[in-house]
Amino acid sequence: MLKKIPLRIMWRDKSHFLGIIFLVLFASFGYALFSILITNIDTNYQNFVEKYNQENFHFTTFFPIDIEALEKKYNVLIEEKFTWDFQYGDKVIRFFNVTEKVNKPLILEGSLPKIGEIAVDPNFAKTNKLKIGDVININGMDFHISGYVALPDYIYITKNETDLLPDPLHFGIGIMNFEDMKKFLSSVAYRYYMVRGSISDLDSFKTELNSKYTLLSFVEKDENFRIIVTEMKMKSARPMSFVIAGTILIISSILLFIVLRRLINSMHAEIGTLYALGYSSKEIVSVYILFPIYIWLMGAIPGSALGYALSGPFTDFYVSFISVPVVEKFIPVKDLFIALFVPALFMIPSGYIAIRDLLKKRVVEIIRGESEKSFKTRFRMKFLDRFSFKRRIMLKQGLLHPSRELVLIVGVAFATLIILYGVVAKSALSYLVEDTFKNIFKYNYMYIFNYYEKENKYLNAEPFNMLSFYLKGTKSKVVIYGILKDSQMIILKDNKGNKINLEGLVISQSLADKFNLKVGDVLNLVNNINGKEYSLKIIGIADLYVGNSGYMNLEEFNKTFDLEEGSFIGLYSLDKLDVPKENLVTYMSKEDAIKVFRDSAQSIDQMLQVMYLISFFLAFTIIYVLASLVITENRKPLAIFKILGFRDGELSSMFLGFNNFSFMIGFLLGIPLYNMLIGYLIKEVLRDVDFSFKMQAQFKDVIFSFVYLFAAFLLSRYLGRRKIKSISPAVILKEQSE
Amino acid sequence: MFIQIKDLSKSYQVGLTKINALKRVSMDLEKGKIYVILGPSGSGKTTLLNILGGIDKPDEGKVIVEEEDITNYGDKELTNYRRRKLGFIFQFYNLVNSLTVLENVLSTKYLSEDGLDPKEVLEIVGMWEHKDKFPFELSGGEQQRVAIARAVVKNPAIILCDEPTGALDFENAKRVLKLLEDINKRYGTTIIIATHNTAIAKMSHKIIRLRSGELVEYQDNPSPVPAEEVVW
Repeated sequence: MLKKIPLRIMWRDKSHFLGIIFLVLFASFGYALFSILITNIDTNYQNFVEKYNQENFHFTTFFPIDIEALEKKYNVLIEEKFTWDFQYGDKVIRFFNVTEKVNKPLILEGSLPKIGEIAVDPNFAKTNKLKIGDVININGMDFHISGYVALPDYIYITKNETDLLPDPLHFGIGIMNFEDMKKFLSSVAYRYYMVRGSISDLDSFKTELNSKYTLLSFVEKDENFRIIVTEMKMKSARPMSFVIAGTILIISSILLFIVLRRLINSMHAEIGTLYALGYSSKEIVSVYILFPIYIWLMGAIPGSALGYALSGPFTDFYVSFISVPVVEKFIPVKDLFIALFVPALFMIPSGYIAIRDLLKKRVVEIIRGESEKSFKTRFRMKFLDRFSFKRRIMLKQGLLHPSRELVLIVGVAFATLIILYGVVAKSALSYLVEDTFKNIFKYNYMYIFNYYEKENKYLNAEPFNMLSFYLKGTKSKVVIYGILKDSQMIILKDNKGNKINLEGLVISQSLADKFNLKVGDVLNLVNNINGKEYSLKIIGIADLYVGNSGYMNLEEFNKTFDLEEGSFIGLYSLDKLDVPKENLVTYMSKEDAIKVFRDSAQSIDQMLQVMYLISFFLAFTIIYVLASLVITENRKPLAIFKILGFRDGELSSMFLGFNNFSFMIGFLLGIPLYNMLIGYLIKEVLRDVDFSFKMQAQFKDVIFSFVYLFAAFLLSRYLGRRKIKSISPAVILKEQSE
Repeated sequence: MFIQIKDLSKSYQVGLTKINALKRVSMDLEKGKIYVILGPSGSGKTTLLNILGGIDKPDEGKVIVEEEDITNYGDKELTNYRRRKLGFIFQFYNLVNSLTVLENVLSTKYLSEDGLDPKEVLEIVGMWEHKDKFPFELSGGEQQRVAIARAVVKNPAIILCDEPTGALDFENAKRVLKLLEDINKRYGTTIIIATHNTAIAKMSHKIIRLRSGELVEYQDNPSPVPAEEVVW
């Protein structure tokens, strides 16, 4: 009979119990969704890279190498790769030959292409509505699509290494047989080789390559953007899901503890009577422990089920960004088990502690409601006497219930962290497009030759040089550029907006942030190709957030790195140049890059919307649950105050007004928390990636986040006020006389 | 006339039964007098008091206070009405448990622009020395005296008392009645006491008797006895 009590009370006080149930549901859902997704992607990724011989490194040379001799000498597998970009309307398909030893293609659907056939990546096919069997006309020849393909060295399918996100609408990869490819390869500007296997002395290998075949570039797997981004994302996603789900669980457990404690205290007479009637404390606990059990079941079961149900579509959505081929879907029992049972580990003990506190007292104390006697001297708070009555009550409400306010502060701080992360990511992207690309990089086209040039034959074009280094003692890549001293194409400014005089080495702000570098520090670099070491003093830090890069004037650059005076490897240009393709390693149009970023921004928007929702939901639920708790437990005083002539608004600010402070404290606390998180991400997670964002929260980001969360606050406040309004003094008086 | 009650009716639905708490009750009340509403349990005393106090609304009829019909008021206007004109005293005191004696009194002082000095009022009711105590630290009689101070401090035109002595022993009850009488004399406050204790009627200027929601008697008491002399 008694077992009916919990459900009835939960129904009566549904506003705060529903809030807690939703938080548990959300935590289980979040954990289940992300862990199932990550486990699926992780397992598929490992299977893929192992079975299909993902490269350990690749390199380019000017002259063709002797594959057989090198394979024998270093006991590795080496395979040459050929590639060409096919302009397909406004899109580009980058075709590779079908390889057999290294980075072997995985056919996800259909079959390997035979002569006259091609296979393309599934995201490009899907986005552009290409199906197996369709025909694509390539330079006058018809090719049938034989299947969908994934390549182990092109997991993150971006056109340029600097692209932030894949853009399957405009760029995709494909494979065709070398026999077919030969028809389109007019000349080869450089040779590209992929290597599977490890070489203990990489430096001597590089030296050999450089002396015999002129090594142009050398990229290890760890620094291969198209591989490492996927691994990074997977690595960072798991702790993220832990942190988000864990924090929500802890917050909801403390909330439950507070709600249950209040509730049980308010039922002291009933519980005491049960005791007096002869029920044992064990029997009473077995009834009231049902509260956390019901909350756990109502939250965790649908949460885990929903997480599992949505993990399929979310996996598909996620892999469309990171391109891990999902060959087989797993049901990770361990993840589901954790999502289902971990909430119980938090909820049941916190519920039990709340009940135990009351049952420790003597029966007569419980019946009398000794809790009221707990208004000891300290609750008089005479130091508040200087304030007006209304303010005094408001301050007392907060000071008497510090745990409640603490939950609100932690919840709002966490919501702030989430929203700031989303808002800053979005504005960082637009900063990149609107500021960096427009105000710093003034060129429209960038051309990189396959060998050093000495004479600039083009108008409106500026020569530049570049070399790739490691930061000594790390795996982090740094690219140093030599540009004209008074360059009109790259305008470097410091963070105060003053133009930087290029005398010595100027580094990007993102590089400075990652390694805590200051002006005057010495940067120790190791040449990526020949292993030579350099120590360069930093004379300035440019307000530039793209990549781990540094700039010197071209003259000084050539002198420092022993290059011929006046030589350069590339051109920045305002106009499109007519450079023969065989002389180029690559070329980039700024317009294309901006387009990719804008397209990326759209995809990011979807992820950000989820973050906006999470933070709003979190802030709203916590504030509302706590507010409705305050109102419920103060029903009688509120009714009395109403009878005395207090208005609803006055009562709302007296009883809920302290939340204003807690909200503000939570929000202000969220900002340094966010900075700590970003500091950690930049220094630890993104350290070895030649890629970064201006992730410092700007004033406008903070304002936007504040306004957004304040809306959640106002909504919960409005609902709280409505709840106060609904209290009928006459009904309360009647209840009392009954 | 200070207060005019015209054809006031109110009914409640309890389960399947309709209870007529007030049936076409009409009366006039003068300013500065003490009224006692007598009647057994269920006679409609509290309902009448609640409607007069603006915390309940009638089904029919009017309550005109200083020429304003409060039955037409919305929630906001009713709140203002209570704020400006009324003080309440209940059988179970209804002090706010988390506030000290002084704070309970300040809670209504805050609502009034021309209220009385809380210290003066607490001294009148003999509770100034207990001003920092919480309600649970007081006896019933003391709590009711604080409730009187709370009602009086904003210097309202009307004080509505619902069984103000119902939960008190004889001595404390008399002390409370005496206080009400003093306040009536000192500040000219109209005091309306709802009670089933017929002895209290002797101290009033007018006696109103209700039975089953109907007004059965409305009579002047030309020679009210001092509260100290009321016995039961």
